Amino acid sequence: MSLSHGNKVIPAPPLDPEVAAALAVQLDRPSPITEADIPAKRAEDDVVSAATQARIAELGLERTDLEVTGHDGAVVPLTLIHRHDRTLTSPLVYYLHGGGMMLGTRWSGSDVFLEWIDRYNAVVATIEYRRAPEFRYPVPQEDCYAGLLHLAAHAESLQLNVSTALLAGISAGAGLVASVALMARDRGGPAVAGQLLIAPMLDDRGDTRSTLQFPTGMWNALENRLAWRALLGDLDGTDDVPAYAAPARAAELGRLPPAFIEVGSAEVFRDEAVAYASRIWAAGGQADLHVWGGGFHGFGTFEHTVLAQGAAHSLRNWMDRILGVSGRG
Amino acid sequence: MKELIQRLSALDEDATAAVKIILHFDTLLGQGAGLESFVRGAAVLSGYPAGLAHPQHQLSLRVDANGRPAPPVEDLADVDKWPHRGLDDGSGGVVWVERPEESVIDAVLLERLAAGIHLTLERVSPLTVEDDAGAVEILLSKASDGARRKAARRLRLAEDCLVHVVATAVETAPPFSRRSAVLSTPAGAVRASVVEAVRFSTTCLAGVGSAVRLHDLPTSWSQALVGLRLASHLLPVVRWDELGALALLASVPVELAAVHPDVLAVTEVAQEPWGLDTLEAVARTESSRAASAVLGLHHSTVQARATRLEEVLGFRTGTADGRTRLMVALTLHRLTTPLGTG
Repeated sequence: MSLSHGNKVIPAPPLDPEVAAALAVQLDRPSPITEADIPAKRAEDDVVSAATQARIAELGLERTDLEVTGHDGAVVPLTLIHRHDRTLTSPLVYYLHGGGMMLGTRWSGSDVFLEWIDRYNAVVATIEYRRAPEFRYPVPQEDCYAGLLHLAAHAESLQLNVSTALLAGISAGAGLVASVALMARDRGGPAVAGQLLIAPMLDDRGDTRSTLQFPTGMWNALENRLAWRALLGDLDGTDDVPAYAAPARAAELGRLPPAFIEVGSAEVFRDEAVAYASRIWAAGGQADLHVWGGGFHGFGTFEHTVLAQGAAHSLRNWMDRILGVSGRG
Repeated sequence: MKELIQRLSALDEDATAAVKIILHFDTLLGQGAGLESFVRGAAVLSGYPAGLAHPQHQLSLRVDANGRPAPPVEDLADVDKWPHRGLDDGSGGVVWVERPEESVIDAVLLERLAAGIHLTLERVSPLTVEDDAGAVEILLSKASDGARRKAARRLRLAEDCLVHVVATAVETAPPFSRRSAVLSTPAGAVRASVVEAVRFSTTCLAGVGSAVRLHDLPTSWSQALVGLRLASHLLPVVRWDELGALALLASVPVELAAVHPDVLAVTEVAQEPWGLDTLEAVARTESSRAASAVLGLHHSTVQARATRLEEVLGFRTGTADGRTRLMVALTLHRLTTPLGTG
């Protein structure tokens, strides 16, 4: 992939061969996604959502639907999912779904969290935060933070321990995880044991080399711009974008929970992910950074590729360390 | 691994073996390591597979001598063949090292392994109200450092954290913290909550102590109590840090304060259902018009009451000096009467 930029072609890392071959036979999707595609994409999300909920019921998992009160008084749905044989020490994972903050539901990306329920007997909490562009910053971020406060406030009746919990998200969900971690730090909110950032959307400024390198493909620079504009509205493109909207803007990244940051070398988010990890280390924090050569945004969904297997293995290793066990009965 | 960690099996009878075991497990505990790390430590130090079985938590961990997770034992009865030890919590959990013949180091190894697992399980378990209340009580008392450290761990308070104590009436739900206990005080039963950040989601009377290190929590608690005594409908949340020099009035002996003529006058005014609110509104505002706005009453009503108050008090409240004198008397009155009456 390359792009003519300022009359110069910017070379970009090539895709991993297996990943490229899988992409070549993938179903067509509109690219780039535009604002006009949002209703159709959301309709697809709803189909996936129904299928996922049916699958969760089929797997015999227990489901508890809760109502969180948002910062503005709105009711935000939050669902807990776990096995019947969960125990008092089942770890809590608070999951924030992806979709550019415009798309997706709390059921999106369920394959990932269902594995945690299987491997760690985890209790997964997943929230239906309100999405842009109808709800701009700070609504998605505050909804997600309100969810964390709700879990902490009701930890006893829900039999959860937030201090050993993980925040987890993919893409925009990972950006929201980073925001929630910053908010909890700054507001004296609940401290958690880790933040899992897979291909995180952190920086609204769009001036990284990796943004310039990927004007096409899965979650390209144009789609990324669309998402930030949808979230930020009039704030977009100004110097006034707050850190809770774009965590890359945070003045300092100390005193945050240990982070796991995963990204592909062939995606827009590469440079902001690397920079975020570097800044956490510089501030004396803990981070694991994995950059997978030839991975595009979302390469992990091609589970058959050796690249995705490596990424899944590394993630498990981190979760084993943070959760303290490499699986349980 | 073999090169990096000296196996203890070669150090039998050596007193340094016990020291190394203790150091290794203490470091794991201090760093907040997970359950499996303790089992791994036992396996690697002993040179034999080690395990943990804890049916209550669905835990069945086993690690080989190289630190790799191993399949669980097929029959838990096998564990009896090896050096093993039950957890102290009476939960039925058991740890073991698969050494064919018992070694002198096994006792301390298993003791440390079991203790590490026990404390870590406690750390990752949800808090429960009963346990919390006891721990809060210990932290707010002058208990020994050891007991305080244990209580802080129980409440998951970091050793270097800064926390406030918030005092509220018993009948109010504790909205701020689950680290909360009802304690009896000379002024009556009060709910004490230990909070990292002060946030009020409901309106209730509350006193807030200064942010302090764990060691100074008894001080923050007594400050919060003073705050609660001074809290009123007009100023429901009183923070010690904002009291300034007024806080010194709390150290005036009760027998001295209670008999001062100004305080006696306030006590007399307090007999009227409207008395204290009106006094406070007058003391906190610069005109009877402003006082009536605070009270939500008609100006003429407040005017009439203020005149009656001045008669009882024996001094004018329309001047800054008069209001200061009134505020001091009101503060002393609240500090000398039981909670809920002032």
